[in-house]
Amino acid sequence: MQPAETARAQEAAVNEAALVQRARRNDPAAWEAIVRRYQEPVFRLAYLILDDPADAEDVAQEAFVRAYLALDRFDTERPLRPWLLSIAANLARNRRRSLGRYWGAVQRAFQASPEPYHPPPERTVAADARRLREAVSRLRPLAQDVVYLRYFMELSEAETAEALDVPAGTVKSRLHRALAQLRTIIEDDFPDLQDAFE
Amino acid sequence: MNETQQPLFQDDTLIQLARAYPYPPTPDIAQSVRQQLTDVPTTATNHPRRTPSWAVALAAVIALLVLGMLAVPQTRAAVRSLIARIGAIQLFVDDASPTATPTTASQGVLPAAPTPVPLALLAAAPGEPIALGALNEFAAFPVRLPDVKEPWGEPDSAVVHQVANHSLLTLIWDDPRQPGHPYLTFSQTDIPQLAFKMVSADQVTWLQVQGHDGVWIQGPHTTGLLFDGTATDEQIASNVLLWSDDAMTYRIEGDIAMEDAIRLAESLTTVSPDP
Repeated sequence: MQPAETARAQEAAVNEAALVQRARRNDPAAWEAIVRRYQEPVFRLAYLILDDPADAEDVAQEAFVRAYLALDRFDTERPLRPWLLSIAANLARNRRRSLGRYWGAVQRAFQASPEPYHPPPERTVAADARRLREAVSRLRPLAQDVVYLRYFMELSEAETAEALDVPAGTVKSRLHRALAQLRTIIEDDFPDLQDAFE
Repeated sequence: MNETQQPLFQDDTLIQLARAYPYPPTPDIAQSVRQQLTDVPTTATNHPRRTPSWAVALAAVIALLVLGMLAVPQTRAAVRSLIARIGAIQLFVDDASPTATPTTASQGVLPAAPTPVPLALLAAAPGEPIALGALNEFAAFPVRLPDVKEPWGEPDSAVVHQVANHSLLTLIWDDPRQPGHPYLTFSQTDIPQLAFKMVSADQVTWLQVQGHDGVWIQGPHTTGLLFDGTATDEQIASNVLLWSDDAMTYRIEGDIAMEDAIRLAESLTTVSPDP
């Protein structure tokens, strides 16, 4: 990071800490500023897990409300973004676990894609990214979490460890296993996507 | 491919590709959050405290998460390899799966004591109950029924899940000592991709059922539906016989011995629709 970027990052952190302090003193406007800063990654992570924009919006809202109500317990020395993403991921996973949604997810999957997967002819980067996400979605939930946080949310390994509340070494091993499984899925079911990694 | 001699993926390449993912537009969450927060009771000087309803909700969330972790210890992180596809079911070997233990079932008799059997699909989604005499009206395929009746008797009930133009039909036998508590199910479906199962190698017996490849899974294992981002784990205590022909996947699940499950499976015959 260049010196100017470092200075900007430090300034942003100071501003963020100040906003958190104000929010703790019953200042919803301060929290609204925090929400505006992080609503996109929180919404996107919820969307990746739930695959439904309306559900993702609900989860994102709830995540920010719960975070606000839990601010007294938040350690301001720690980064805010992994903490928010952690709350959103837990809420999204919990929503997906609910029995009422269990079969509904199957219904939606079939309505959206009634036939077995066939690679579309388009080879845009966005299409490849969509295929990558579909491959990731076939991983087990824990493996999905670590891949989404590390590569889609672009958290560092340390931040991913914060978000998952596990040691950094655990993140490394989970990533290794998740990527090994992902490679198998891509080789078996998305062979055309291999070009994107060469 | 030699996994030890090349990196799985370059981090930067993955991040660049993931960055191109076409997310839907982010809604204005800040506005709605602020609206919700203005509705939260606050004290004059302190940060708003969680209301009782929030406390209950959060406790429930934590309890669910904890229970979820306890229910599936270690298994979610230990995917090793996909070893087979049996029709709609993907089978993974997982070294952290629970070790197989003999169940109480013995050949041809009911278990000595009632055993709660968490039958995966029934626990997750009950399906629509249908009359046993009208199975063909609800399935998207010719229904098959077991010809062997002993010692299970006729099924007590049947349910169907309709998914687009596919069906999943399940016959249910209740434990006679606990009416309403299923102890055995037989499912048939033309859904092409449905679920995964995590097993350890010593739980698996490969076999043939009615001339088709199948597998017997002995004892506790993890299963879940497998779709686009919607996989959900459930711990299954019962034994499972799976097999598939070209179009259909069949499953017998419950407190049943392998020999009995095979006997039941080999007796299946197609039910002719009523004229």
